Amino acid sequence: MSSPKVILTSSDGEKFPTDPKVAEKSILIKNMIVDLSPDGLEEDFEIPVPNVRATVLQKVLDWCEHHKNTIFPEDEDEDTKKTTPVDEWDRNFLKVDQEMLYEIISAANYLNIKPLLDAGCKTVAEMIRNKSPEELRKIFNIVNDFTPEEEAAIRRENEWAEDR
Amino acid sequence: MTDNLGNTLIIHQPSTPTFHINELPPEILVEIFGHLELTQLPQIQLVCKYWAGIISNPSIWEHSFNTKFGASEVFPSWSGSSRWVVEYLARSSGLKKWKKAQGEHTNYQILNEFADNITLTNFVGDKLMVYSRIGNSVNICGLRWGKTQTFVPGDNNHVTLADINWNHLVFATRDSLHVKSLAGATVSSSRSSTKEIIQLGGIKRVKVRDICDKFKDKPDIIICTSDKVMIFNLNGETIKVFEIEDIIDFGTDFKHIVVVCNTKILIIKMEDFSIKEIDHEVGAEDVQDINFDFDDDNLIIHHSKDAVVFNYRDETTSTITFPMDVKFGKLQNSRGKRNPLLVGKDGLFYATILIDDTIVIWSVRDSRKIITRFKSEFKYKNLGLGDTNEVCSIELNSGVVIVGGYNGFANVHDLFTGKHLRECSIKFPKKYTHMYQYRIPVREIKVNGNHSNGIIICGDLIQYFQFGEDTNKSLKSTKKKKFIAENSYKNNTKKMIKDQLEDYEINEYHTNQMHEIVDKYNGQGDGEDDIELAIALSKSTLQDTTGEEEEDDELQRALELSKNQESSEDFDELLKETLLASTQNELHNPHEFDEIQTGSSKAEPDEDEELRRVLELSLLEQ
Repeated sequence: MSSPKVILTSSDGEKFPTDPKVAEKSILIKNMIVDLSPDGLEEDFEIPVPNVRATVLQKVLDWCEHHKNTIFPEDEDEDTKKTTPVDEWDRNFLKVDQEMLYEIISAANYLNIKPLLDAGCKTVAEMIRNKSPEELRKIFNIVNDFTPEEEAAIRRENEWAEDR
Repeated sequence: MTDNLGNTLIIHQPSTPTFHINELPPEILVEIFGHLELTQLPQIQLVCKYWAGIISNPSIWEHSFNTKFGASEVFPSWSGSSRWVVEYLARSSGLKKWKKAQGEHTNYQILNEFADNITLTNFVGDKLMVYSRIGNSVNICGLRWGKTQTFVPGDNNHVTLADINWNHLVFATRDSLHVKSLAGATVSSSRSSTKEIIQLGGIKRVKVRDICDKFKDKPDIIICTSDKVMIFNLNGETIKVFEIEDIIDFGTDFKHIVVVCNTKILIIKMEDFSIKEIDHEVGAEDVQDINFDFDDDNLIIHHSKDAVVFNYRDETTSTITFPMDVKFGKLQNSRGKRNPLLVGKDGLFYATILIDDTIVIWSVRDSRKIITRFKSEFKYKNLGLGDTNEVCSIELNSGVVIVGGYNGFANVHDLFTGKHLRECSIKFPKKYTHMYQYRIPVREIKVNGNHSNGIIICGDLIQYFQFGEDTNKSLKSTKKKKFIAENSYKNNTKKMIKDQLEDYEINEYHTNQMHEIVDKYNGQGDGEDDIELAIALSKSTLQDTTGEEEEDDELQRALELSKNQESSEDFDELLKETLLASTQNELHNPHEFDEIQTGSSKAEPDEDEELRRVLELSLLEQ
């Protein structure tokens, strides 16, 4: 008899039977399992993931599958976390269009998968780094919602930057 | 994508659900921005309102400040802003100046004998006032170059305590209290301007308000003895007397008077003279010194190994115990009534020096936490001072700590980490021979707020330091450069004259010293004032030549003269002219300088008379 599975249901109703070891990369799911069946799963366990689409959930589970044996350092101090570059596999994994990237980040945030969230944030930060406001608006398709006066006010406040 | 008017349009594609970056929750954007260089954040603010709002979120900054500057949760704000980005940029550009900008130093000598001084500085108005308790004298001069020295000699040699503001000197002797007006003080008028306020012995502390009431009837002078606190106005009239037992000391910001007694603290409101009394168990018997942080109602008492902070608003006490006895300490200047909305919650730091010369920086407001501890090393090298690291004085602002050693040596350290940033001082010129014969402690260091300039006071010498250019300076120096380029062929002659002027100065200094000694032996003769005036004036003109700015102009004039004479053999004549010209320069507004150059004989006949006397005196000494 096969071992019990965690069955994740995406927002669009697709079911993903998942090995608990993989699913527990999500601290949210891990805590749920621990809370509801402290002695370990005896039968399949269904968890709805109401705000994650099937394609995104598939991506996230791929990531969990790949990292099922990776041991991430426990909530280490912020400094080391910030300085470590994104892992090569993660980098390639996150080479997706912007929407998918944000949805992955959003899902990782909801499911509480910190290493994936970090990798995602770093990837977006890379896209922002050393770009002008104009370039950033173009890249991220953001409308400039400042009036010229407001913009001038911000520039004035930032005049400190001048002599650096 | 743009429309036909050139406006950017967002294209919503209805077929697939789009997920825009701004649909991410703010805490994730904070996380993302947190991975960026802080310097890019001001740019990020300009992208859109949502991003700007996130940048002004303190949580993103607090952590960054900690990693970048080593700041604690509560710290003194550099910019006085509640906006983190402003604070960040102000701090990093300001610190960069302290760390890396080119240093400029000027040296000058003042006329006071040095002991128990009180120093007032006005960096904007370029004014320095030094009071010396010994001799009870006041010296006022330009802060940057030591120009236009005005010396107000004292007329009472038994002064026990004093306080000054820019216009008044209030001093106590063993049995009386006096006020003296310094406004427009000249040697001849100084004696008559002293007024006795009261005959009273045992005065323990004297305070005069920074800016006094011009009608002289508001409470501007406060004193205490061991059993009284008395308030006077400038006319010397008693406004209020409080009989209080066992007074140790008091402090005042002229809004409140905080009287520290053996077992209680009294807070007197100046507005209505109402008194609030609080018991304390600070253990005030062996008090070493008391400091007041009026802007957050803290009283800081040092005794033996402890620093006790007593908040008289909340009536809370907290103690920091150091591993050994405390030598002395200094409280950072507050920027005004505490405003917890500022970045760093408007913290205030204290520098305590322990007997082994360890410097401990700790936070007075809120946490009483030790920020850093370090030692400062002075590179005395072959000055024959040994390798002592004794700390003689200390100054701190919101970014740096300046530690003074001996003979003008001072180091700049980072306030948060204690890291050595640079040497603050340069060696005094060799002409000040006493600086190379004796061990003279740096008495005081005054820094211009968070700006990277200030003064170091060591014996009777003052060194002005500045890191990085200030704005009005850069204008002058370009003018100067142009001038140098035009006159480069004159440089050799200039140098010669400069050397000779320097020799003259050394000579002058020694003769002046001799004069002073002779004066002391001869007692206080009638001629004293004249001589003092002469010394003052001749010195002030001489100080002038040490300033680079004026130097060139003076030398130019000297050169013009020497060209006219086709030789500089008659050097005395030349010097006389130079001195005359520069003395006139002193008497005029420096801005009218061009005018002086074109028509240098505009001085009043009276002044001419006086000048001639001065010049004769100073030339005779040669």
